[in-house]
Amino acid sequence: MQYSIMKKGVNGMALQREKIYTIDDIYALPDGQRAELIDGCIYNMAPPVRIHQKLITELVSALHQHIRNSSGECEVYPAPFAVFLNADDKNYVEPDISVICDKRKLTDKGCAGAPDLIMEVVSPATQHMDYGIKLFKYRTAGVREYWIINPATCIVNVYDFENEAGTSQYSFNDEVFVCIFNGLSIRFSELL
Amino acid sequence: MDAVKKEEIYTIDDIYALPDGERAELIEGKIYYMAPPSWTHQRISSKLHQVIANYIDNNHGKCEVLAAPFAVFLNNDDINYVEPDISVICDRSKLDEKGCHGAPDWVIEIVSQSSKPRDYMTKLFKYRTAGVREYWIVDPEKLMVSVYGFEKDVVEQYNFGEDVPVGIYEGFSIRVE
Repeated sequence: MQYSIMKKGVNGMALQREKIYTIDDIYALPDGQRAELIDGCIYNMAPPVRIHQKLITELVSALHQHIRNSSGECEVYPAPFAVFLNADDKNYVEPDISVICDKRKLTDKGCAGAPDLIMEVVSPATQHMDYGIKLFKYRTAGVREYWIINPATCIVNVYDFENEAGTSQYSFNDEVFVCIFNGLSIRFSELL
Repeated sequence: MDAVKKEEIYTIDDIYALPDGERAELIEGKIYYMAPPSWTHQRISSKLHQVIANYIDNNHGKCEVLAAPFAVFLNNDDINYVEPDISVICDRSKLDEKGCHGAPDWVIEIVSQSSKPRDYMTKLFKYRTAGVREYWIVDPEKLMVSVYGFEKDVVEQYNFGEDVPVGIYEGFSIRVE
């Protein structure tokens, strides 16, 4: 997804401070406009491109099938799906894919707390967000595993926050294993 | 009785007590034994060292570039000890005969199969919070260089053969091949 950062300076102060946004601002957005909120900073989202949606559809389908076949407890949601990452009013994200295994976190609105697995498909404009801000934010929030999928470079970064050992960087031709599940792997070149 | 089995916390004393020729790193008291580096690893490492040293010499810079094995006491405590493949240190007060006390300005790690999880994740977080200004991960298998500029919050990926700009030195770029 594409982002632009909205900043509001306060005039007349020695130190220019950004306005702190809250989840109320997210829900007050005009129809059709989407944004994310990280530590009170708001990031607007642009409509996704085709390859982005293709990858998400294939991944959600693979995850869903695996969960169903193994009679698993987890649920998978594609964006737009509200994740109140820290269960506070300053953090609101819509990960491209969220897998949640603790059903108590699921509410009518979305997910209150950290999902178990998050996948983000990168576009040039979100690189900064997906590889930087979200990487650090997801880890501290208690996400167990995070995938960053880059269709431009055909590179996948897997962060196994829980056990470290599954962390690596893969190409689209590699077999990439989902750490939180037993026996699920994805070869991206076969999805496209 | 403890319900959860706790891992042993190692300290820098354990690092210095290792048998001759054996090397290890320590992150938050967890010990990581290091395999001897490969030919490719050493070729990339010495090339990077040479290019960076030349740049600093030609510009009469004050920073120092050091190649592993070189001790970095990342957090100035006794449970963190790393040997980055390349360390660039600009604050000479951090340097003594033992190594670098505190965070280097620029760190480069050349990954091997066994060091990948540590280089791509654990060290990324450790270096960032310790105050390293720039971190490069060179992956000779994937032919990629991942660049983290913590000062400006920049993250970029480059292929081998591309010019990779050095964030801490304006106008300096390196082609890794």
